[in-house]
Amino acid sequence: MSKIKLSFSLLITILLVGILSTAAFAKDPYGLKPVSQGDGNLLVTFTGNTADSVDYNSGPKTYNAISFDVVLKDSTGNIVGTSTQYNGTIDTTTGSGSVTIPAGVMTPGDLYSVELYKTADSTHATLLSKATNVVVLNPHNGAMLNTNTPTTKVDANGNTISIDQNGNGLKNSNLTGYGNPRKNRSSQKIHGFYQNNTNSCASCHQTHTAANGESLLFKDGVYSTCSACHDGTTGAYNNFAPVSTSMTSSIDGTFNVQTAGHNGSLHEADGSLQISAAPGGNKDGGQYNQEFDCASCHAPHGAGSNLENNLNTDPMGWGSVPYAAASGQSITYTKGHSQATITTTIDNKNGKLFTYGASDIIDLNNGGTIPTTETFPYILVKTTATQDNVVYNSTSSTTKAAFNYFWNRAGVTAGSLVIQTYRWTDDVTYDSNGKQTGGGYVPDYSLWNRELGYPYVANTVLKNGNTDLTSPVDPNLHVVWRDAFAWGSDVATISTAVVSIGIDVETTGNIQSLYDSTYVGDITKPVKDANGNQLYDGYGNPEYQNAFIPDSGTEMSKYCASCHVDYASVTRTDVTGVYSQAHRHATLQDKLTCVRCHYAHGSEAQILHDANDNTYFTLTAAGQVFDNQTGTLTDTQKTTNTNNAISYFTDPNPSSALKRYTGMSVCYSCHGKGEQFVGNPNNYDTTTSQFLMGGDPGTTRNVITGK
Amino acid sequence: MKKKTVYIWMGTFVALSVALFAVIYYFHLQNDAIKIASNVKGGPPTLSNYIQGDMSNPLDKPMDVTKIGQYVYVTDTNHKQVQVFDPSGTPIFKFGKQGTGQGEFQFPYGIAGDKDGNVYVADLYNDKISIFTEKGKFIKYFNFANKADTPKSPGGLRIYSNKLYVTDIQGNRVMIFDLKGKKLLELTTATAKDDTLNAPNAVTIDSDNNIYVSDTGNQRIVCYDKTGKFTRIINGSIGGTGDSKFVNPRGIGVEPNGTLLMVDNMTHYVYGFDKNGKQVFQFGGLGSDKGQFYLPNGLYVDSNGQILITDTVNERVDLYY
Repeated sequence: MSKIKLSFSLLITILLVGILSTAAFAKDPYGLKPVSQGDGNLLVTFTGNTADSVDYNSGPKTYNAISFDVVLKDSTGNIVGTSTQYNGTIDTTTGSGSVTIPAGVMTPGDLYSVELYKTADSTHATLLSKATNVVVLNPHNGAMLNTNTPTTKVDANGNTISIDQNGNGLKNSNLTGYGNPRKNRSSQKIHGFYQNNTNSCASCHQTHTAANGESLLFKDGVYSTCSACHDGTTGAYNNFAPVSTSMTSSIDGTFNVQTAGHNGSLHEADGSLQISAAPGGNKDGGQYNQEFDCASCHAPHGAGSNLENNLNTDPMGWGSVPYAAASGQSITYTKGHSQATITTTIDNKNGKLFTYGASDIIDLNNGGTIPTTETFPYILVKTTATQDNVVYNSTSSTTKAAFNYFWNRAGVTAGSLVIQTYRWTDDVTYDSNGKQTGGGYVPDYSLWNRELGYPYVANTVLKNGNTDLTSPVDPNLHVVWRDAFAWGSDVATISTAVVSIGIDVETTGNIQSLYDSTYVGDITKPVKDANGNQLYDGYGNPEYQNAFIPDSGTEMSKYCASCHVDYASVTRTDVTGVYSQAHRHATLQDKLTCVRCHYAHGSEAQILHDANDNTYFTLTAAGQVFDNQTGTLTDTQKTTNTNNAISYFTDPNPSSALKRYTGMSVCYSCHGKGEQFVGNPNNYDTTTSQFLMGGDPGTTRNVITGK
Repeated sequence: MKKKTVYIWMGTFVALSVALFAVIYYFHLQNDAIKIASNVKGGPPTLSNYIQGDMSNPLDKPMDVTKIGQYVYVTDTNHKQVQVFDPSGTPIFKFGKQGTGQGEFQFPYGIAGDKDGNVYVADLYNDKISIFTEKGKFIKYFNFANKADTPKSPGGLRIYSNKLYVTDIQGNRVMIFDLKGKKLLELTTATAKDDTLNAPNAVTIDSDNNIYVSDTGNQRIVCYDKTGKFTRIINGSIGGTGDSKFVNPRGIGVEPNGTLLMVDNMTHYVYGFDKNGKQVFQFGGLGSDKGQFYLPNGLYVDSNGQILITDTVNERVDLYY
């Protein structure tokens, strides 16, 4: 045989092998792809073969509307159901089709195979494509909450509840749904990702070798772990966002502060400080000697709704500390879920676990009256809702009472019995001169802690005699854990209770929503954070958008006061601590919420305000005194103006106070409209060429010119 | 050899080939055959040494690393600077400071070098890619020929064959430019139009110029061919079809033998995958001991197969062979 012939034969051989291997390895021409859906369904997608397409020489490629059968077989090769049960027709434009095999048909975890035939091939003689090792996942939560879509759910007692995009309607304190409160599928917006074969616990916890206490945490890891995602490297909220215009009206500010030349101020949350370092702190607090880190304020496992920014519902663990009336006195209380009776000498006037006997619950329908002197810091009151109580209109100033807001949101109907907590406040009555004459009890919408897991100590229980009406929930009792009340006909039967008071701050992208009862916000626009990430959709309950949220400013102050106890005045005048007798701003009210004057995370020159609420961004805008925007300016001029603006806003009293206003201009920002200031020609700032303006910060200021 | 014998042998060869591939085709054994054909030889790499900086200049949250010439350049992110070491870990020099001006950083992240030794640093917050000389002198910002291509927040950065690969974390896209700033390719989606990337943190290529993207927000790696055509998803589940097993995937790189390496930030492991996306090894785990990581992030593989991994909380760069 000649070499040429031999070579030719070899080439032919290689060619043949090549052709066949191409055919053999060719990807499935029908694109058969069975994918397990989170709800237990199996979605089988497929596409038409090129041979099924027509007419792509003379226009867009189209397909014939061919029907395909999807045959499901179990691991032994037996057909599940019938061979023609599942079929779908391909789309003539995209050429793709799909079949959904509903949950329940396949046993989760078992292996199946899926085969594709043309429906026209009635005997299924020609197998077009096959997928093996097909598995569906256990839906395990049924159709659990998907906050992207308003939905209804049936609770454990068969009652139907409605849930909107913001999670309103969920009634347990961590707002994560009934049944499996800490589980989450990837489609749900609960903190982090959850799946049944999760590997994420080990991100933070070590089962046997943890260095940091009973939480099984690796040492000093909280701040770094949170920062791993919340530093702008993921789509998650960026705590280190660079300064921006919108940040100047945010609650949190930023951790990305520049210290040199900007006199930045940080809430040092990296674990280097103990909670006891908090100015005004209370040594009796639940976790006084713990490290202060992100988890001191935020719930790493999720508080359940992005509206709360994952703030802990039980900061400092106070929800499990029993309240006792006087120092050194022993107290008997019922311990959480276990219902065990505990006698302890723990004395902590800031305890938030209250026990109510039959004589402690005030029933306004049966001759009861709300006391005019303080007994407990929090009391339980039964009442009947009137028609006027249950309507809330965000644009009407006449129906903006907090109970309207919360009762309306919970669906309380007129005539229903309601039981709720009231808290004592000294700041409730005034004489004709506006001078305070006495305190009193006001409705409170903190949150009732509901602790269904270990360690069962911060739990709220409402009882009829010895019958617990909260677990399982009495069908004639709607417990609105989040807003600290319950309503329904069986309120009448509640005779005793243990209430664990938590905190629920509902926040938006603008601090005005916390303190300004006239603030409506723009309900048509989605609320975005400083980074431009959308926080909430611009639809849903209008009163729940960027507008004023009653009581949330107060809750925010209480939240800060978990550690900075003495700075929350009004609840009690004889609080413990260094400044127990000091005179101070009454912070425990919406209008003087802490974050009105302070940022939560950090502050620096570029996000500080002056008395007229100018910021770096307003004064460096085109045409303003520190203009660094106008194109005709030279780079040197721009740099000079930038430096001058930063210098103007740099706080001359650098501290850790996370101030929102530079220097002490915070005083003028509210008090500047007083008579001593209005119209005073001396109140003219030569740098900004502005007179001190009247009006509340955040609102439109009135220019006050000289005499 | 007789002609006839040759023909018989060849005929047998063809017939056996036909039979083999027919069996593969008709019995749907493609995946198994590919597995057999592409078994990765060799296991996980071996730890050589740490690069930690000296006592007065430790690293703080080193986010990314690259090798330019013989030197190792590390973005020392919390110190808002770049530190340069020799491969044994001796600090040579550092450059950059906090700020928004030229040569200053707010969040220095991705780092890469071109063939002339110039250093490119992506700043996530300043939204710029700064170019320095190999000595750390600021030259200029990378100039995007079309302003619309300027990344909102540049994260991962690599340069291969005079092409700049950059991930735009907030922009949810990966772009490839020539070094003059002309966009050559943009990747925004994976399997379908509505399957968009989400906060991609890193990008790399293999020897065939296939592109790999660490699609952090979607907890997966997305693979493309060199033209940007989607090929597969790797997420730790079989075939990439189930829920992801990754938690915060970050730096990626390809070893000379074709093994794809990925840092899984929040499980504190580094995973190796063969060419079909099948996991072939993992190493690391939570801790501060030898061979452990605590929130590792950046990964760079040099042409010799030397692997550099930044370990953000342990404040070191791990060098593997």
